[in-house]
Amino acid sequence: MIDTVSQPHDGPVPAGYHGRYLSVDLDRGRGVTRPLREDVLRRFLGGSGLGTWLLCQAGHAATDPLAPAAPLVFALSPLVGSPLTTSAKFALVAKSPLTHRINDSLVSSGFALAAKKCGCDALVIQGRAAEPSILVIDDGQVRLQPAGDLWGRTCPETEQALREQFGPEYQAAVIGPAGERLVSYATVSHAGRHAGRGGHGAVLGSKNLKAVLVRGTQRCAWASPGELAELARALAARSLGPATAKYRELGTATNLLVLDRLHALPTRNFQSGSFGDVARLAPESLDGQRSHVRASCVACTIGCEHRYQLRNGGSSAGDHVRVEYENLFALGALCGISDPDTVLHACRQCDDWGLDTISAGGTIAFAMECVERGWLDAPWLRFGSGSALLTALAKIVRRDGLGDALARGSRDLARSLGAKALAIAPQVKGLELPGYEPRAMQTLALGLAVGTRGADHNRSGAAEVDFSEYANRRGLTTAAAARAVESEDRSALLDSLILCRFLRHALDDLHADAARMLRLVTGWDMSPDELRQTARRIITLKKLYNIRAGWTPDEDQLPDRFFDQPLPDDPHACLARDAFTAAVRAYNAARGWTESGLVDPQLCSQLGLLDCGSQ
Amino acid sequence: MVIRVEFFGIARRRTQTATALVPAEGPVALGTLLSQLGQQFPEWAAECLDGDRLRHGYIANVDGRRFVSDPHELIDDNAALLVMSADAGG
Repeated sequence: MIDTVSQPHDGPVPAGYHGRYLSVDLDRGRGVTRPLREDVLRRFLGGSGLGTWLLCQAGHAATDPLAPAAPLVFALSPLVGSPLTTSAKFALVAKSPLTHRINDSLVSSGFALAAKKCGCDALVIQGRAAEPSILVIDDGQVRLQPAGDLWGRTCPETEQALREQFGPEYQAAVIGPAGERLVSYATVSHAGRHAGRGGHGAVLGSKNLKAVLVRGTQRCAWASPGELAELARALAARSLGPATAKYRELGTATNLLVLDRLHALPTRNFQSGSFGDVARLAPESLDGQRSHVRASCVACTIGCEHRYQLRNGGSSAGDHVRVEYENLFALGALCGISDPDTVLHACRQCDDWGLDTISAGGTIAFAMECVERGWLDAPWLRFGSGSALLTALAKIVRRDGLGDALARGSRDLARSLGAKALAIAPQVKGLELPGYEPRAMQTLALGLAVGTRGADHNRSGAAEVDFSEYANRRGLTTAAAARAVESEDRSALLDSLILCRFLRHALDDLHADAARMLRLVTGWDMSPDELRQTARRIITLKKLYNIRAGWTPDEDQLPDRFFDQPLPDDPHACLARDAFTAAVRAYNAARGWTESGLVDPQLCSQLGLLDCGSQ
Repeated sequence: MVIRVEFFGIARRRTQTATALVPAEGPVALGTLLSQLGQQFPEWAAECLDGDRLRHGYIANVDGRRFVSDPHELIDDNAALLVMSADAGG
């Protein structure tokens, strides 16, 4: 048992919150329940925003992300547990071992609901258990117990074993072998979904924690439960409309054919923007050829999850594998592989072992190009070779031979090979690029470059600007910067409420709708403008964290490959370095930062960030 | 001349075809073209069209180059019109 003390809370606690968080120090075997002031909750909401604030309070930004002192934050939100569709989510926030910058990843389902019933709005873990362990939080009581033979097991095996041992009331966030072995892009998994990007699994593994289990009975009140139930019914109905049909019927994988047609599908480590065999991987083809089932996260009416039968997949043959666009892009087109069974099997391996598919595929594809160019001596690692892909994944998770280098990500590998390799390493700030060719989607290219967690399409959201008539996707201008800021702000708000981003087209006006949700849940009378300011505050706080961690302006950059050379299969897709540099400056100006991206104290004061730590 | 219409995602499911060829003698307004397609593919029209416009959440692209939504926008009679979800995220 870990001794837990409670610090007194003498201020008001808004509805929808518990007004406190649990801080666990594994080194000292101590837990403290600390108060969260209402003004903090209102300024940062929850999820990504609250998690960032807590990260800034809990530790020094310069701390090594895998050091015991490095904090790992599990942040809930006021909407968790409410009847609002897609609100059962939590955020993990920590310093990334892949980027050494801030990393926030979201994951859905029952863990969020059970964690909130523990009576806290967040959990902060520091220290390192003396032996491989599981951390159990049972209605506010905290204990550590040996992980025993769970260590070494896959993510699904671990969750299954914990369910059998503890019962269905407990929900677990777990790591697989990748997290245990500190692979820099290991995930934290829950119910088959992953806090995927940036290596939170390695952070949990560095604390010798195989799993965090939660169970509780404490519920929050809602400010206006009757109206909230009405709003939830209306929102659920809207979530079943045409704006989300894509996700329900086909899933994100349907992006493959569209992006391929627009020469925006990164292929063979970004050497081209279309992949000849793409149709073999598309859900439109998979659907007719193999069994297909659909699933939803807990408390979600959209149901975007599509699972396809795995054939010829060794021990997993006959199972169904979750298929997402980013998985198919990274483990398929990016590695030049079109055999669906190989790609589905690779997806399964990543899910089982707890590997981020984008970083795994990105790093392997980069290594394949290095082999092709004669920079890396691994003749077996060739584009198009399914066996090479599967072998590389296994080597990464075992940290065997070349796998040990691949386990540290493409930037680290490139640094060992020299400047020429850095020019083609598909990463920003160390985070591998998602499945959008930057030369073909140039507003997103800007968003990927300036993003605080690195090349990330979910925090930026600028893909939707490129998919509109408001921007020329193949001709970046400074005018696009303001739209990149707006889309990033919307993402920050969704990630802090927390609501699923797939819901956004079912909302009339995100800020007005979010203000209403928060009024009914918390009782706060918030305006859409206050929420716009909240989003700006959260993004600037992430930037402040990065600056404290050592960020420099030259990190807001894309690899050289993407500049001044057109995409081979689309001569109109050429990203001019001068235009890009001007757009980064315009982005910084639109954020109120200095030309080079620093944050001055006056802006901190305006945004209410003066109490957000100085370390 | 012929305008080649390419359907993606939900639009392809509702029309049950990947492409449709629309004969045209000279440029055609986007709204006119969408209305014509709506008569050919009523199930698609019911879900994806609002009069002579694509519903919120759907968008059209000409030749893979520019996105369009104004029903008065003229589409060349040898163009490819791509109809897709406006939601590019994955």
